[in-house]
Amino acid sequence: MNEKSIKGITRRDFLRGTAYAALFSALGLLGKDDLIAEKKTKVVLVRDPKAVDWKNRVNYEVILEMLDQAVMALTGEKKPFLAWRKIVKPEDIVGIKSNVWGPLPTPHEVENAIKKRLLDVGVKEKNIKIRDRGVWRDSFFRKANAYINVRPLRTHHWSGIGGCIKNYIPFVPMPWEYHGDSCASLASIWKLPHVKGKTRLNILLALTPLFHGIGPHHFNPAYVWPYRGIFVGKDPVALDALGVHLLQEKRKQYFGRYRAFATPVKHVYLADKKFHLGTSDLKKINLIKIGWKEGILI
Amino acid sequence: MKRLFLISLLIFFQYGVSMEMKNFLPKEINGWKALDKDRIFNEQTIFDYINGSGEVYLSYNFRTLLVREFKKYGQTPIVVDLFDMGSAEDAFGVFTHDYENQELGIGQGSFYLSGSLTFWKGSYFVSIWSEKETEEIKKTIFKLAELISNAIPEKGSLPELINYLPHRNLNTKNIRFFHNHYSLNYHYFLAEKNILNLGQNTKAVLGEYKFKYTRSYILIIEYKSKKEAKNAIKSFLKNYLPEAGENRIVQIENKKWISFGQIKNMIFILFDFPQKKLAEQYLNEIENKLRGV
Repeated sequence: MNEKSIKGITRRDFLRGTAYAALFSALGLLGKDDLIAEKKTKVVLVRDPKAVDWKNRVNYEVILEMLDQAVMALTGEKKPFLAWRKIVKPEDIVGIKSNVWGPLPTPHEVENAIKKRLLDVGVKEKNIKIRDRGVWRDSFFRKANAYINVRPLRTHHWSGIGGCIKNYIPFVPMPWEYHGDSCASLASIWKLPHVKGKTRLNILLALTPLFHGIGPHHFNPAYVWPYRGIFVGKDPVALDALGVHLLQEKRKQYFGRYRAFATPVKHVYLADKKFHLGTSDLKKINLIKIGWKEGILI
Repeated sequence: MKRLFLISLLIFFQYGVSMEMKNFLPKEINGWKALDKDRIFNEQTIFDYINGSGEVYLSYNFRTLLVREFKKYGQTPIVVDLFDMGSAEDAFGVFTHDYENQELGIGQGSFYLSGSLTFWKGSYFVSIWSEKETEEIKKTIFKLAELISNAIPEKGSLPELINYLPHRNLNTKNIRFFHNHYSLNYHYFLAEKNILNLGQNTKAVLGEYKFKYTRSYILIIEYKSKKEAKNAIKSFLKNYLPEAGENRIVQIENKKWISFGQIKNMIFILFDFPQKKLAEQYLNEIENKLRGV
């Protein structure tokens, strides 16, 4: 066992700069072999200043266009229809895994935009369902062969952040069994038979992310900012790693110094290194940025 | 039979506690009416109510939570979470978990931010929250806080450890009291692992000091025994400051100074001091305070 595994990352690692690359996950333990360039995971970040207005109202038309742009960039297609067609087929049964957390849910405008594009490519309405809690016992989700995972990015008291990986916790009947050790084993849910291999697209909404949480309800509008962005990709770990990176940058900007998350974002790192669900290493992610650049932070 | 008796006793005790807590809260305020039923949670059931941050309250040994929701037509509800923390030091501690430089003069310490007001008084910690903030909601939240604070009869003492923090340059609005290393890392990230052997049986205070452009910190920890304190210092030196050797003041890579010491069952660590001389002065002052000089 080396010394690092005894004490873990310390503040001095950050001061020496040896842990900076891992800062995004507050835990990433990059080895030298991680620095070798490998095939990169593609993630698209699309931003539009009109996506959300000053009252945090979401613009459906703009969202639709942003999703099209992202899916086209992701698939390499030049037309939205063809791009979405690469994600789903008309005969697919598609469960849209949403998020209903009261203060910051997946906006209906986003859910409806996804549904519209599924209908456009020929998926039957009866073969589309949007749901969050209770999906583990939902017969539709059980028989679905395709999932689209969509939720807002936020800090989370148990898991550090709430992102794509965490969004699948309702696929198990007893979520609390996954809360131990900073939700370290969340990614294992993605390997369950009724979940594994079904996810066609991950959409991490950074329209109005929550970058810090206080109090029993872990929400305060003062810690939400209109970033007006959407991350889209096939690798949920890569999206979450970028989400962590974005929230960290915002926290540095807001607090004027590095400030640790309430809980280390261990689950994102372990989703990569232990469960091999995707990559958490920013160096292995090819981030394609589309649209509005002001205040992009990453 | 004995087990049944103990459970009945516990239920009766909790019922009594929550009845007393109910008396601290009004039924109506500015047209917001309390829902018919309050909700009550204990350390076993808190996660049914708080998805996530329940662990923070457990780490401060919380006992009972009473939740009362107020509704008014056409307005966002206001929720009052009244926590019986069992002791004043833990009520203060849990309050310091989230507060920032501010003082409203409510209870024994208070903080407001965009529709959320928290304060502590005696052994109680109170959070009043609305998802949206309007002028009317803000006014109502403040009035509610005043009413609750006035209804709580007792006042509590601050944790004794605070007395050992030197006063010069101390930011008195940024003192944190806690027990475990998760809380320490939340306020001042030291190490991923628990290298100071913190836990529910330890008490710790973290003070922030401002020296021109530098923020420095003093951490004082009280262990159950001298032996535990000694082991903690050993672990700290091994895992964080291996180059210290016989030195008690060490400059690290950010050009700032760390110093440390142990007296009886207490340890103290000074972080990020801008000058060696300053670190020495503060170290001496803490030692004198702890020795009762």
